Amino acid sequence: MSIDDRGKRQLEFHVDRRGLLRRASAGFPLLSLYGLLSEEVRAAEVSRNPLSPRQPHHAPRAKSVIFLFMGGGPSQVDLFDPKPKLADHTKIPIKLPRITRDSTPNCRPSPFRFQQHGESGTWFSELMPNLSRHADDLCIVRSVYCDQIEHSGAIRQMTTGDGVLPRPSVGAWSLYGLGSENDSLPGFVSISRQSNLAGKVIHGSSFLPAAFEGTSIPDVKKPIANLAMPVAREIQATRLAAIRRLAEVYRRRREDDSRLDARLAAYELAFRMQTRAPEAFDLSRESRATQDLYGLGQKDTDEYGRQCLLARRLVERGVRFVVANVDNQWDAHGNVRDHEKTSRQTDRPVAALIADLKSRGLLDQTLVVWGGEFGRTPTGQGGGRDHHPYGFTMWLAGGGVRGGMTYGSTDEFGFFAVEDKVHVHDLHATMLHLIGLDHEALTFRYSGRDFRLTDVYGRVVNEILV
Amino acid sequence: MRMATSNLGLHRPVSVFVVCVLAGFAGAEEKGPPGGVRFFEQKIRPVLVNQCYLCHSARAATAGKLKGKLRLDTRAGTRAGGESGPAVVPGKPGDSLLVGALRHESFKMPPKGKLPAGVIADFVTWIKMGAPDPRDGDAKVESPQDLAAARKLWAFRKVKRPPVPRGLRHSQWPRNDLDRLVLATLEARSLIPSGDADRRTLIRRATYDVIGLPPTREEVEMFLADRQSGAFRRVVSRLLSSPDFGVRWGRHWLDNVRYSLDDPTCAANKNENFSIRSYRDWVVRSLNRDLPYDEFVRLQVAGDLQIADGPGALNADGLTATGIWGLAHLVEGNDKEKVLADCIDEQLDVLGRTFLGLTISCARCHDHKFDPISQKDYYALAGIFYSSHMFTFQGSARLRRRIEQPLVSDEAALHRWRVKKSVLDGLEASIKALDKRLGKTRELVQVKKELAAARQRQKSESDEKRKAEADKQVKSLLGKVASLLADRKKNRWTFDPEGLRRRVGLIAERDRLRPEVSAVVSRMVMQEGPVPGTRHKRVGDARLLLRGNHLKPGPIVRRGFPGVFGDIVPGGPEIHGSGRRELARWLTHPGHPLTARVMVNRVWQHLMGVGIVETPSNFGRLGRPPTHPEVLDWLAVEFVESGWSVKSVVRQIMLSSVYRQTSLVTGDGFRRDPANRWLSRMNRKRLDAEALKDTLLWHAGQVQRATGPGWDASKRSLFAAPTRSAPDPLLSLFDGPDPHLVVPRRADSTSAPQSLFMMNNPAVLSTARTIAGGLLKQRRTDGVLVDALYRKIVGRPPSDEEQRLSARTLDEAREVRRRLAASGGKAVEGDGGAWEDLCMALLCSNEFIYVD
Repeated sequence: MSIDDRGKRQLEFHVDRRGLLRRASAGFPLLSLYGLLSEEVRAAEVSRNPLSPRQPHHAPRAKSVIFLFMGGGPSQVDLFDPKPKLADHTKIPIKLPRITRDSTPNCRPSPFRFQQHGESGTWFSELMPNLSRHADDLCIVRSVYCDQIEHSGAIRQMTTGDGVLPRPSVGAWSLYGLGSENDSLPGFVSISRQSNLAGKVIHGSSFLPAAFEGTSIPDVKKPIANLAMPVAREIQATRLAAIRRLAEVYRRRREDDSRLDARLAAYELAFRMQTRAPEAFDLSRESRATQDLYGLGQKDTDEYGRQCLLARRLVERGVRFVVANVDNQWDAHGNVRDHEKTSRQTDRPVAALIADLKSRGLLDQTLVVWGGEFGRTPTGQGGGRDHHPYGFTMWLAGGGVRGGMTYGSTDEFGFFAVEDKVHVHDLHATMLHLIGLDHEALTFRYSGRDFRLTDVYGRVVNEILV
Repeated sequence: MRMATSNLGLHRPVSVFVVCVLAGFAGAEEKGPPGGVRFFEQKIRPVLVNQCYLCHSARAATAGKLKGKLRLDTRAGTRAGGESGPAVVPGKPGDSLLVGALRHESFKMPPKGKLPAGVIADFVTWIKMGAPDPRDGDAKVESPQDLAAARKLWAFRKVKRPPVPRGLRHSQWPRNDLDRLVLATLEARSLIPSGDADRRTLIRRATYDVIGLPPTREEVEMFLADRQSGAFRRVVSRLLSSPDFGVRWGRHWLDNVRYSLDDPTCAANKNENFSIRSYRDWVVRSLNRDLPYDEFVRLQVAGDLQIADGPGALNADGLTATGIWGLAHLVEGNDKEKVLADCIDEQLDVLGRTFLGLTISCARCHDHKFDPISQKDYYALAGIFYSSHMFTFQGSARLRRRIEQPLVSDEAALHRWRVKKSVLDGLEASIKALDKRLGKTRELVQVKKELAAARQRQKSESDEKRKAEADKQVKSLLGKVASLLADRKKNRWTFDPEGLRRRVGLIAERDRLRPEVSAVVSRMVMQEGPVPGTRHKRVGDARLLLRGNHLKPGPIVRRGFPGVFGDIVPGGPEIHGSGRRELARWLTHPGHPLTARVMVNRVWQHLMGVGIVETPSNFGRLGRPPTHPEVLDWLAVEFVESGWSVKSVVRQIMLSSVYRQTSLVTGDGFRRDPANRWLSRMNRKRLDAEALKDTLLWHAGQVQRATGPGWDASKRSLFAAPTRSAPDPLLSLFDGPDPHLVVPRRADSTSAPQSLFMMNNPAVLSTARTIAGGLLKQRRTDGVLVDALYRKIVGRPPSDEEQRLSARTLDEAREVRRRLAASGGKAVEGDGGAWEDLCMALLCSNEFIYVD
């Protein structure tokens, strides 16, 4: 991370936010004031305490985000977007776009049965027996598209907006925009990983200050790094007391340096985290019924069940952004029926998460986003389907999202998004919007210019909002 | 890189960048001859009004219908152009986008259909006339591309030795002219400089700054005892001659070039690690032997083009240095042209920010919004890189690979090497073929050999058990012989002892040749000529890409250097080959206003904590202006005059009174200058990630200081640098560089995960254990041991108060551990544990991680 350009300016820029609000609100309605001044206020606050809760740009509909990242690329025509016409074209080639990989131009009909569910009559294939019971809570977007056809680039784009260059992830932007609401847990957590993409991307802060980097938990069964105390708590407390004493002596004649107190405060916070974070990560504290709901202890569902349950425990405790990763399991090149297994692994945990959030009254304040880095070709490749960025399905649920809705559509083959297209930038704009941030106003100056999550693109998809 | 231009400047007062047209700006020259104006009024204006104003005028702008940010209803707007560049360049129809648009070449304007050829010819005539245009007025955006104005910006002015200020009040304080210049600034603000830090503080600061490790206890004592004048100078000289200098300062340089050991973003290449390591080692070596900075730059830009000394000599350094360009991302993508354009963009980004302090890559899609770098300037430089390459796209786009070149520069040597290489390859192939054919023969020979040996043992062995073993072996080998013979009959292969002899000869020849070929190492290096397998077939000028879009090639741009610099190298660029040789010469010309300034500012930043220009890689308008422009220029002049010696700049700064100041606040300095912009004291610096890690390892005995030949530097953090695929958790926790990015300045973050690391990570614990163990071996009183501990970890003896506090900590720790042990808890009772606790506290202390 560097503090090129604006860094020092931010450090010097001391604004008393309350004073500013008081002074300015005399003439302006409060809401517009957010938009007017918040970026400078944000910069000042970020330099003082990066994780302190901050004012959103507008009233938020959700407080937290859970991104269920379906790595590998789930097939839209086998899950949410029925295309009976594919069956008529198994022998007739369709016209392929300029850039494809090596899928054949012949259509491959889905082997799975589709049915309508809920009052809304939303379509699901038989691969989503549990999720389909929440049909009326979901907003299915059938017209998502992105610019990348390989896993690495597409994952990069889905999580940072850019498919090529190093950029902060959407979670880091959220944390930068809003700060954290829990003083003893990280504000942004990514569980498991996408092994198709090396390095810190999904949880990376790139050029944003390092404080906004997500905490990666590569293995859901292991907690945060360095969290386990190597000695008894009482001994650790003795050490902390000694650290306090040393800091007290050292700060004399150095009162001007705020970093010294900040570092001591960080030790105090770390001490609290050691005590409280293990509790948040301890799934055994959940009732047997809840554990069963998510499918813990069962071969297929244990892994993703744990991820979903942990995600709920974290947002419940004020964690801003959680990514729960399915690692490339959807990448069904060889056999369309590989989706059966991945569905068995994820359908029940995901449905459990929706039900659980709802029963705890958390769904209203949590945005749940489900989707992969791209979809799969409606045409065949071997016995399966190839990568497909031109039109695929994602769904959203929870805070501020219209349930029981199906938005956008692909062409008759499920190939191109044609109606109400939603680019990844639009998705990001909408996600930020729902947590109270304006994607055009949320900027960070780096390398001589203001960067945004959505670059110069992005449109809030108002049609899917309540 | 796509540019988020629409929001640039969104949150800043617009007035800063909008300047009203000065009266008289629109002089007669702008209006042209009266006949010209008449031509405009008759032939041009009506067309503009009828065909263009709907989308390109003030009215269109207010209606929100302005297209391409282009306004054609004022002279200024027409000349400034829109997103794609100037619509009209007076006198140059070829450079005027308007003409291309009317001809439906670059754009299709008007979109409804092409205008009659006669009308287009009128526009060409008009532009050739100098585009006379009487339409003054209207507030206009001052173009950053106004070169005459831009040259007045401090960064583009010539470097000049500033006059040394006289009549300063604190005349005792300065040690050199640098001090006098800083002092003048301080006194102008009625600020008072601070005195020297005490010697313990000074040697700790100096040692960390130069070699990234703390001083040893002996070094501290020696410095304290040295009462002769010049004691500190001797410390600095000793440090600068240590090979650890290159390790520390090499890392500083590598921050600016996206250094990473691996590169998962490019197709796997097993030799690649090796190549990047050799670039890194070259950087370290060059700094240690104080290679002049101009040469350092020249080699990186065009080292492959330099002539080696003497025929057959290796140009290893020159070739290796170009490894810098291999650090640009080469990402997986379907579109070769896009991958290439992105890769060159990153190379230009390093060229601009690292060598010049300019954000050149902002001009990829449009003229730079704030600095005098036009889009044409960008592609003039890009052409140089389009004419060079270090990888190939031959084969499939996904199978691109970096090319290795043998490290020879002279053609004859290269030829000899290639011949030997091909002979060697031939030998290897024959041996392989022979092996395949002789497989059974060799097996038979081998088995017979073993059989003879076993029979020998059978005879000579006296021990019963072993004899039985030999019997068994003979039996089994005889079986093998029999089965091989049966196999020969069945499969009809011939026993070929002649072939075996031939094989021995071939192997001897191969073994003789092998070292000769491998003596010439190959490396990933820059080469002349465009990337094989792309649409760029020849060395030459590149096309401008409209809006940076590789699918929309625009006009060809002549290779060269940004116009704002004028002719630094007299006569202008006469480009031969790719142009890198000329680029290197241009960058390192003593008259270049940026190269030296940018580098001395980096040195200043590493020593003083903050650069004179706080944005070390952005000297443009969005960077910060220098706080001490005279100091910057003084250093730059001295730098060039010293023969571009980096060590001499380091020495000059370190020996100044500015550097030696205490970091403690004295007087009202803090109240008057809280951010310490004017340097009335030293800035306190946090240990960077590498210094922290190396210190922990040094205390644990796992990292050694450089001690001359045989020194193993491999444990220093530089050599275990983060990779793009597996970032080092400690380094990234403590703001280590992200190897994907150019990092001109490290962040200074304070976070709970850092504290968790310090309190709980096994590495820190093991350091504490090592230190505590070492102390306890001494079997001395608590007081003596606390004294030793303080000297070891923070480089000074404890005060009486600290002795008391330490005693209290030890008491508490012993008590807690006793209690825990009594209640059956898990705790090391007794002294070892308590000393570990105190040790941990010191390692977690602010004094340990900050350098006063």
